Amino acid sequence: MDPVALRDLYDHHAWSTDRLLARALEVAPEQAAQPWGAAGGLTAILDHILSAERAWLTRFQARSRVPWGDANTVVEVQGRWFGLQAEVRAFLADLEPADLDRHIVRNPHPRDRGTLGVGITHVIMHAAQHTAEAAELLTQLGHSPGQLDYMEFLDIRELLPPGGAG
Amino acid sequence: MVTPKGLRELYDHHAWSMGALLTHAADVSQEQAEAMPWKGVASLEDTLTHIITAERYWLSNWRGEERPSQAWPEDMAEVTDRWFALQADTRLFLANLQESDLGRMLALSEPIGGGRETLAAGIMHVLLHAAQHRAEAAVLLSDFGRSPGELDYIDFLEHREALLRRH
Repeated sequence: MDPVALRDLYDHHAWSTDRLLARALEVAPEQAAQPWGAAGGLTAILDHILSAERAWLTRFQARSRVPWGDANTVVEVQGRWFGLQAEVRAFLADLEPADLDRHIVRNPHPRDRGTLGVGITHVIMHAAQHTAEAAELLTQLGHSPGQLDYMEFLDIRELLPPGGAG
Repeated sequence: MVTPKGLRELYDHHAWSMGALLTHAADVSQEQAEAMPWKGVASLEDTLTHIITAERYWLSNWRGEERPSQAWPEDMAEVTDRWFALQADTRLFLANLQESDLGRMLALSEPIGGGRETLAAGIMHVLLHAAQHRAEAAVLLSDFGRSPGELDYIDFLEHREALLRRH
């Protein structure tokens, strides 16, 4: 994949996350905090998506950063999301095809492997997995986020003004 | 843009994850496979079948064939059989994919991609659609005490590297 494709997939991820958060804000805070089976709680799942994305962004940028503590509410998660999304978009906007083969600086941690292209793909696929868990929980709680498919996103994006899909 | 090589690698990850899910799904009882413990979420058997049925539909579309019609599978063993057959077909299709094919517009009965329904978008859609429903299947399996373990892309790469080192 090249930077254009990765930015496109990030747009889909951002659109899905926005939809999840919009519906998650309708859930009572105590319900959002409650663990549900193996998936964990709604707040925890959403926070996990963002914490992982932030940790990987730090690796991509070869920067050290203090990890976030756990977010306690969906409002807190949403605040994190706005800041993180802006940072990731700025990073992706500057990506050149040659950057994708650059090896990621390791922590060291056995999972910090591979190239920048692999790392960004991992973040997107990781988010897709946990997005589904959050959507499942929201549906369970009566706040389904609706269809989050990639084709659905492409369809809706066509109706939005330029730059309005994220 | 995406490349055939990139799509084949993402498909490898999808196939590896499906293998893990189906292996663990074979351990649950038929009653569990058909149970719907989560409101709004299909059973384990139906979730896995949905992934396969959607992929089969899209593959037929990419190949310019009629929409396939298959009866719903009777049990997990049939789901697994269908997956093996489908995987072979999809891999063959992806193996022959050229960069110039990816921008081809798909013929869809309902326009669902905002005029951007290229073959590349269709394949990406299938991969992300599968990722979504695999997560649902993984949660159901975990609730049944049969967690498939980590299915992340990075775990797949690690697993593949280990296999290649061994051979």
